[in-house]
Amino acid sequence: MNMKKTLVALLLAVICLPSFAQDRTVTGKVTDAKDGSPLVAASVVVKGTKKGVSTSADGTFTLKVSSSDNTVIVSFLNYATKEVSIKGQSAINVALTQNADQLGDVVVIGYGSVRKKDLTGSVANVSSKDFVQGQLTSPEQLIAGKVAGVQITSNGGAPGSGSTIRIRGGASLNASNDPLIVIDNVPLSNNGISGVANPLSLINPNDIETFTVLKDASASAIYGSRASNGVIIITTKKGAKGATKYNFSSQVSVGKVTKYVDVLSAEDFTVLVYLNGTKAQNALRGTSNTDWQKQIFQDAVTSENNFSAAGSIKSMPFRFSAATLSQEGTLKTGKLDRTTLGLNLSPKFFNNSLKIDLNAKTSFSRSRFADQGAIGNAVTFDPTKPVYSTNPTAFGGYFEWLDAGSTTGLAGLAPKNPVGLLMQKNDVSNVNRTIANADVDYTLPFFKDLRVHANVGIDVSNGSGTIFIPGTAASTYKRYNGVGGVNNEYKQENSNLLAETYLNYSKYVDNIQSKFDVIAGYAYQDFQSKNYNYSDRTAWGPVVTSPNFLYDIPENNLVSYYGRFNYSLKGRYSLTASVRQDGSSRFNSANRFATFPSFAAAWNIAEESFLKQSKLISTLKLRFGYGVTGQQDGIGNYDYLSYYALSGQQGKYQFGNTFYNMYAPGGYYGGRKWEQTATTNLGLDFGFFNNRVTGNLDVYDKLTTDLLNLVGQPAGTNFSNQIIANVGDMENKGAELGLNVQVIAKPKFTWDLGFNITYNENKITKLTISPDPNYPGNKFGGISGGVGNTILINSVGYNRGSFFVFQQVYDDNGRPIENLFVDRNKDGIINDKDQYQYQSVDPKIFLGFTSNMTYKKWDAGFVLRANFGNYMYNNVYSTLSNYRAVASLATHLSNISTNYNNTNFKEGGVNQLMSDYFIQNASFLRMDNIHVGFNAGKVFKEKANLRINASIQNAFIITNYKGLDPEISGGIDNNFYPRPRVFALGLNFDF
Amino acid sequence: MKNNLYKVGLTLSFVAILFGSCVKKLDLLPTNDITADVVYNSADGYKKAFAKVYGAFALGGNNGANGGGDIQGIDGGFSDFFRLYWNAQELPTDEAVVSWGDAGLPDFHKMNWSANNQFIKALYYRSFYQITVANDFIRQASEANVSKRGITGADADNIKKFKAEARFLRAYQYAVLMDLFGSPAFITDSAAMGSQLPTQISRAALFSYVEKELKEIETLVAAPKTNEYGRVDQAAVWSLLARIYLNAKVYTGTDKNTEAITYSSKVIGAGYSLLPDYTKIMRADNNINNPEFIFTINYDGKFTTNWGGTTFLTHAAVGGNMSASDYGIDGGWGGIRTTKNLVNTFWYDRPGAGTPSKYGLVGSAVNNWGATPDVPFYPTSVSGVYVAYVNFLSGDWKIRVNNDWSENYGDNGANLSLESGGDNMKTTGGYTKVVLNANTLTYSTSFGFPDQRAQFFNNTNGMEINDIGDFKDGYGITKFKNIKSDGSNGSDATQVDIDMPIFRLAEMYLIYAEAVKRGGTGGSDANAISYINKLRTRAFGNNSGNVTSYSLNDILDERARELYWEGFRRTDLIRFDDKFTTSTYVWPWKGDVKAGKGVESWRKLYPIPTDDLTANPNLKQNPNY
Repeated sequence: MNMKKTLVALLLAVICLPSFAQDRTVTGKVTDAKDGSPLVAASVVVKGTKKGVSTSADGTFTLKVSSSDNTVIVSFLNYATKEVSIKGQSAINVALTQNADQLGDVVVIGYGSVRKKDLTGSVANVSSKDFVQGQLTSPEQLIAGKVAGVQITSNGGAPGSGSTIRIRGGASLNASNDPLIVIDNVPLSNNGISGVANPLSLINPNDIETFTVLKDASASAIYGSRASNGVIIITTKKGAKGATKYNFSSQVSVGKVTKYVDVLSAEDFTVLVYLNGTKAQNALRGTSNTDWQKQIFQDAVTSENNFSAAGSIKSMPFRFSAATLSQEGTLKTGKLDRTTLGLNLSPKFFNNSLKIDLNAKTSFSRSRFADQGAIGNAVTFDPTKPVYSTNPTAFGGYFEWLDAGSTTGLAGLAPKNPVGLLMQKNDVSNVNRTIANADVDYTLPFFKDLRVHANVGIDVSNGSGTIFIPGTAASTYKRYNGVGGVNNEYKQENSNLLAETYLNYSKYVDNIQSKFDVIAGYAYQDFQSKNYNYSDRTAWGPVVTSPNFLYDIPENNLVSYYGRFNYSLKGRYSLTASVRQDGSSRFNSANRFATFPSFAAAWNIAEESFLKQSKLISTLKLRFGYGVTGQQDGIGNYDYLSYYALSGQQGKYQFGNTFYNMYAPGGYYGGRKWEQTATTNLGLDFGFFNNRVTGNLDVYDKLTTDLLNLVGQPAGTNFSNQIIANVGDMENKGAELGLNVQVIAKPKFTWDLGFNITYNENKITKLTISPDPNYPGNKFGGISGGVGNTILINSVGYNRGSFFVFQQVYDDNGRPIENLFVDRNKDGIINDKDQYQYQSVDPKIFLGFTSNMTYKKWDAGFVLRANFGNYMYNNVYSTLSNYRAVASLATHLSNISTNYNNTNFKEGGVNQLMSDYFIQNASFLRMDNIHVGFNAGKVFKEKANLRINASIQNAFIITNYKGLDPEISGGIDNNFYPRPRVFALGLNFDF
Repeated sequence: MKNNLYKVGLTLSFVAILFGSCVKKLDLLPTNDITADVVYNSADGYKKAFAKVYGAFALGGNNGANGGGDIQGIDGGFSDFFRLYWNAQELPTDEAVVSWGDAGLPDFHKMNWSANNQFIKALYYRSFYQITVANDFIRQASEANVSKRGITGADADNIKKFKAEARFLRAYQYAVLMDLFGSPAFITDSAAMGSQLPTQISRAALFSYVEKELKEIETLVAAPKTNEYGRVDQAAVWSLLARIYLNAKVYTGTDKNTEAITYSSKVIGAGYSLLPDYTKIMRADNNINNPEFIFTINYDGKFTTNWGGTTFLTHAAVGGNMSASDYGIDGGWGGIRTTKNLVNTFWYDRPGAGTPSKYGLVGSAVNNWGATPDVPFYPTSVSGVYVAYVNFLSGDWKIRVNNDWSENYGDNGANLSLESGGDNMKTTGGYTKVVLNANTLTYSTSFGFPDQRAQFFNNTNGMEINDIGDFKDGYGITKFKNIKSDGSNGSDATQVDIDMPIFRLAEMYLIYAEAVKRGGTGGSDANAISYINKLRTRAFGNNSGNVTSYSLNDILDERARELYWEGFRRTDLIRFDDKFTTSTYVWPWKGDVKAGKGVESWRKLYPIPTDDLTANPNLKQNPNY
């Protein structure tokens, strides 16, 4: 430990200034009031003088003072400064409290953190106190509507269903548009997990301390190849020194479906068929009155219990949490049961020079998936038919459409009874996921400015499940050799590994008032799944097909080198430069590595002398950043080379009397490389009236080049006619404004308002190697009504995800004229050359508005969200607004939409299906959440503190959209699982 | 200090290990898929790869009906060769309409397709898929590669045959492209995979290429009927030669009818014979004991499954009042049926296009008690004798004159003599030929078309098509049945077993007859008539339908009757003075009008898909697209 003493001496030599007469010595120790850990390099200065020292590595100091010195000022970055009397004392111990305001001022940025005032990139931070309240089962919902530029759209009302997260519109076409999610320094894989609707739902939202969103490339480029769509860093709660604190909360909620697809009532349907139908069609009509949608939905109860204990065992801080969730689906039979356990240990050794952070989160979930096919069937099922037939044994007793002429006795293409679909399918899965990491941070004892940081993390999940449908069920009746039903299983094991290490050199050079912070690191990530293949079996017996291979192990990995340089001068001027080089196994060795640089600068104008005294302006910072990020998610693991795949059991070819499996060569693309997005960001952070009003304004331009884009291949040159290649450019331009206002800030009455608005403009600028005016673009967005029909297109010069439609002609009364469209290219015929790009799925503007108020023991708040300029294809209207849909086949009748009354269409047909008449403005304003809480104070003989809260989620929505819900990710409204309105009541005990 | 040095060393080595390793881990291999060197290291591997060259013909993808499509950008169920080819060859003709609204599908019958049509694109790329797989196989099957891998003897000889057959399949697909697209992209096995951009080949040059390839292959493949079932032999090579020669004038501007006679004669002389019962040609077990088929696409309800091919032809043709179990399937898809033009080719007695007489049928059996015009009788060659072909419903009927009740005839006593205002006549329904002798006021009825090839179903709305979207408008086709010749069902009620003949003897007879009529030498009228009569004898069950002479147009009708729905019609109509696009011959909804109208003559060729034009700068679009 000689080295240490030498260093301390050196430090003292530097810091101690030429001295006055000194006649006594004061020694002491400066610690953190919270956990008692020593504070290193805290300053201890005699009040009114320039005499002072810094504390050493164990927090101690020795200060020579003169007899007239009575008080010392002890200060430390982000801690409340304290004045301590030394009158007559030779030893003092000072515990500093971390400054609550400043706590949030340290922002996690990936491979470290930075003071907010030194931040150069566009980074948003949401901590637990600002989370959306209510019964949220998936973590991302905690920040819905809270952050400018971040759009979170839940994927529907199914238990545990996830969300589509888009940061600044997303940068890709065919590659993934999902942001990278990093939990406690472990970047997650984008691979799904079998048996769970949404991998994030396996994380307990109550364990989360903060979300940090890295929006621009200057911030996210340190994550390189996976950062093009932004990065969300999730930090979980940790233990702290001191007495163990316990928390128990319990919440119960009821979800109700409040809106159904508008279809004809049994009475109206009867009249319709009577007036329009043939004799045969009328003979199919029944006499019951069934509201099929009400038959399949239910009020769903969810209950949740959370327990946590946080404190320290001896000197080791810990936090343990356990939670159970039991959530019913509003679609009958759906259910999710989840147990999550979390443990965090953060011991420190060698005088805190070695810090270890151990995190383990594990969850067990058991789901029963309701057959969502029932939703569409319930919309169209003939309302004059009963749920149950008169024959209690056939098809489980459910009414089904029959056809005496078919080999099964069932009408082949008729929809199956939706209640039967639900009740007769038992699709149950068990999933276990564990995310664990050990984060080691070691400050070199001989060189304290340098830390070595190593992190080893794993994300392991096992999903397995079984699907059983009895042989009597109509959905799979007699599907194989006269035997029906399904008795199948599935299983998947994912294991993702992360190993990384970096060196961090951090130094404040006093005489030039400069802070340097440099990291250099290396990371290795491996993403591996093992997918088991099983036989397809009927309910009780014959095997329909059996797999060629018992399992497959898709795998890819990434090797990365990265470095970052942060420099800040006088707390006013900051500079960041970073670079990352990533190598991916998904590319040919020649294109395998790519480099992602970034650069950013910030100027803290408010710290300048001319503003420092300003009463009006308390924060003013200008930021500029530029960076390049990459994308490689959403492409094949191996297809830079052609491989041969052996065909399945039903894909053999017969020569003579023998059936041979076939070896098929696979499509490949050797030249594939990273998609790159260059982002330029200009931002302004501001705060007025002592930061009562704060906010930020950012404008950005994201240019994606070498788009991973599905392009046609020259015929004869590849085994696949389309392949994802790097062809195309796309631009996202936008502006974001976030505002937070403390309207009232009195001890017993506070009122905070938050507002954010985002404008994003997306445009595809190139899609083919050479411009081709005849190439309309990539069609996608499959719709129902005909096989292979699509409604969306990516075209040059238009927004990604524009609708590609025919232009409807209307009569004098504004009614659409069936199958009459504008001949836009004036060639005398109506064909796909008359389709045009019309509006798009993406909102032009979206905003969030939150309010939180506390008054004495009460608190209340809400979250409002709105989207403007987003359009939706109403697939329900498009398929169900014509009479043909009632009796498309001779075997059965189907219900149609009440919109038929507006169209009176007879036939429908493919062009009518793709009419712009069905593209509807889906702008909306949604009250996501209203909550109210009451702090009841001490209960149980003063041993615990009780808080009661109540909330309504999805309280109301204001929109002109005609369909079920204007907010459907992907812009196609068809068989959408309705988002329920949820009423929740919760109790929270702290003790 | 020593302690610290130790720590420094430890730290640095820790860092070094993490930094230095792992780069080579970026080379990963798939678990179950393998490289060419592994596939082709045994004779068995060659055969499995060879199976794909054929399988590309039959299947949508490598996993049968369960996804994994070879062709992207279209639903896997639409993407097999024969379904796509059938759409292109049958839907824009009088033989078929489809009621479905899948994007691009109605364009065929309307004849208004564009270069972005997904079905045309998929067909083009399907043909090229088989060509590309064949090119790959041919390269792998080179003698150098085979011997390098240590395969010798009988195995090596087999692989030589495989290679010749792969060349045939490639030639077949180029012939298809030549017929449909005229001047497609062109690439063979000579360039390494993906090493160069295909050039565009003219239609005439492609003709020469296909002809030359076939003549080279002729001696390399097995003798007729000596290869495994489902594989190509010499007769298949000759058949394709005969077919392209018959159409040579369309492709090259020069007739090659003599050659068509030469090669069709070779096939006819190779020992094939007609299957005795025409109605059993398209059955679940048509692969067994079938003397007529020369080359087939093999499907199987258990092992070679897809949603196209004969599964499509069987299911899609069933709908309305048709009972699915009559076709050995679990349900109809209510899609494809035919126009009255095809039905009328079976109406032998109908004089020409025919002017209806003043007599007509009314009654519940024809769904008409007076509201709509009568089902007319047509004059015959005998004055005063009229005939009507009608598909009766179960019910009553009468004969009415001038579409007016003032003069009507019934049959008191059901004695086949007519009385003015007499009793209703009764029928249990079905195809009926009604002969009216107005001279004697007698009538006779005979059930069904005498020609057994007329396999129609009347879905109550009759053969007129008022609404293409309504399956029941127009006659159903009952040619395809997933039922074995002994009446038992195929192996699966959804996936159909029927094999699809690419070449069968009947076509060779008709090629011979047509080539003779078109002035080819080396054949004779007498032989041609005897071949036609073989087909007719089978069709009628006796010689009552036999002919003593025939015209060129008779051949077109005979082809329709014999080969309908087997993928010939568009090519035939073009060859016969472009009845395909011109207004000289129309059918319901040709050109998207009910009566039918001519369309632009350039629609004889399909457009090169925009995808390939965009990807391959060597290509030029066909005119006017």
